[in-house]
Amino acid sequence: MAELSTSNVGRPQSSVGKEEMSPTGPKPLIVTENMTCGYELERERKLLTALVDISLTVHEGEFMVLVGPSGCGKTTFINVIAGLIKPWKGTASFNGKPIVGTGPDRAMVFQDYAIMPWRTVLQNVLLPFELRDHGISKKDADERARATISDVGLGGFEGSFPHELSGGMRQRVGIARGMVTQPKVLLADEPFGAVDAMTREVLQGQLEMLVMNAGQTVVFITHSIDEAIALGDRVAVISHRPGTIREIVDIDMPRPRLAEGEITGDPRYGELREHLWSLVKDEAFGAKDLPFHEDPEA
Amino acid sequence: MTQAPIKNTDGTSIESQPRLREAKWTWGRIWTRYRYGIITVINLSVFFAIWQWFASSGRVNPLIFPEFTDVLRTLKIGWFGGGNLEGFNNRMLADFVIVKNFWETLKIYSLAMVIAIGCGIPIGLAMGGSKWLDAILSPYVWTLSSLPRIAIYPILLLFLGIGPQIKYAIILSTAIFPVIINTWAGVKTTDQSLINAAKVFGANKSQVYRKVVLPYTLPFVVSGVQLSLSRGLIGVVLAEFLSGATTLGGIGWLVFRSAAAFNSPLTYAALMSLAVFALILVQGTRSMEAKIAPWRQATTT
Repeated sequence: MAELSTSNVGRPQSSVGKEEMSPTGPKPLIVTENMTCGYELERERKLLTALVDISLTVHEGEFMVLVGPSGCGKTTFINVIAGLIKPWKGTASFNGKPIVGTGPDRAMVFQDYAIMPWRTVLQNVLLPFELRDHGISKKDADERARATISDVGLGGFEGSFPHELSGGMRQRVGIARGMVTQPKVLLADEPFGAVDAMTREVLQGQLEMLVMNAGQTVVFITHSIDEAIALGDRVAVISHRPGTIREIVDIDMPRPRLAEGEITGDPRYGELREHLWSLVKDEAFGAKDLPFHEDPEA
Repeated sequence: MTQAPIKNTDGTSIESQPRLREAKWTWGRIWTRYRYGIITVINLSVFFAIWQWFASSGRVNPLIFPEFTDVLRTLKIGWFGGGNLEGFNNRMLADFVIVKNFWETLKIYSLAMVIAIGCGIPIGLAMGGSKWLDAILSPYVWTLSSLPRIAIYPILLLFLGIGPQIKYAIILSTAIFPVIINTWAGVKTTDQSLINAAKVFGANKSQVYRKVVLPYTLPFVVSGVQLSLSRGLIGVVLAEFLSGATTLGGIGWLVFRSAAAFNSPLTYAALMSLAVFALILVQGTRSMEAKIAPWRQATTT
């Protein structure tokens, strides 16, 4: 853990076209090359292409954020990395091996929490150990689960059921479940999309601290530019469906960004926000189903 | 102590008012708390009083509508025996006649329900879990469950005669479908993101089924069982109406035959016994779901 967090100092500052690994730099963990993927709309008997030609590298210890309008295929990307679906064309590899199915070194946090309502907080966090052998004893797993639960700020709620918790607390359970096995990468699919704005800011700050302390690699999906700047080392802007990468933007702001409170006052924040917004704005307004498209000026 | 204690605005000490206090019993609070019980007692007393007055006023034939006191007397004889039948409508009425018939009904009903639930749950699970079985069994399940069940009784009669078998057949045909369909629906509607979560954390097919689908389906099964218990009750009474017993045909048979024999106090007494049983059964199972799956209550509100 210690050596990982020191490697955060030399975080990758690569952008498009500068993806090669330098001999001393951090190791690429997730590599996709010309990946095209989609899914089948069963009722309409149609195949929907969600992502086209995605080439993206996520390095070890990096916080990669994918931002884009809703329906641009961000979730499809994360589902491929998780091993839930297969790419149609191109390749997706993890740690040097092609991704086939799910794996113990990739954990996920879901937008709708996806925690089991019939399990207590502790039982939910222990689920990964029940489903897979992570090579630690039952007693150690229990201890680690309790430690992770208190890390996410849920100490004392081990025996509570999800319906007794607020939305923000439920997502803390989801985060604890994702981090308890100490996976190589944490995949987060709009994890704060469903929690209220105040709780979201608190959770963002706590996630940043957790990730910094653990040197955790994260792939994080959001449609919020502010969230992307607050959390990401790099932000990949995805265009409207079918999704392609428009640009990868380095967020060269010091960490921790959220522990001290406001980062929005930083002039660099304003520049980045404006730049990202200019990229996303076209995409959001370019959506075919929106009336804005009719406007020749847009 | 140098600092003055903090006082309420009326000068009383703040400690004299803890956050949670016992509220004093007043007539208003007693009324608020027990009003439903009080109203029900008054309501039923008035109902039975009007019944008694109307039946004894001579406006209606006692062969059709008995006095409430006669019903009470019949209930006492039918349940606890020791009745003096002198000068009383005694066609079919004998000591313990209700309790014996009730026991007969209960035996058949409970065995049939065990069969219905014991077969319904696995069938529902299998249909929900396998697309092939679903496709093969669906037409039969949906047709039979939509068909008014009484329409197939002539055929059942031809096949099974009027022995006890037809009772089981009729109860099963009414009670099994709610269990099958609810269980099936539970499996089918299992939250896809819960399944995805289990898969991401390493669940194989059987683990997905055991750790996600089954617990998710449990509350659906419970409401299916509730529905099936009340449907089964309809089935058992109907079956007893149709069965050809001569001395001990169950509570439904007693209702039917005593009415045919113009012993209206016995008809009403048997009916009231059945009503109380049904009420206890249905209300008793109502809280079952809340106990078994508290999260369903919390998430649907």
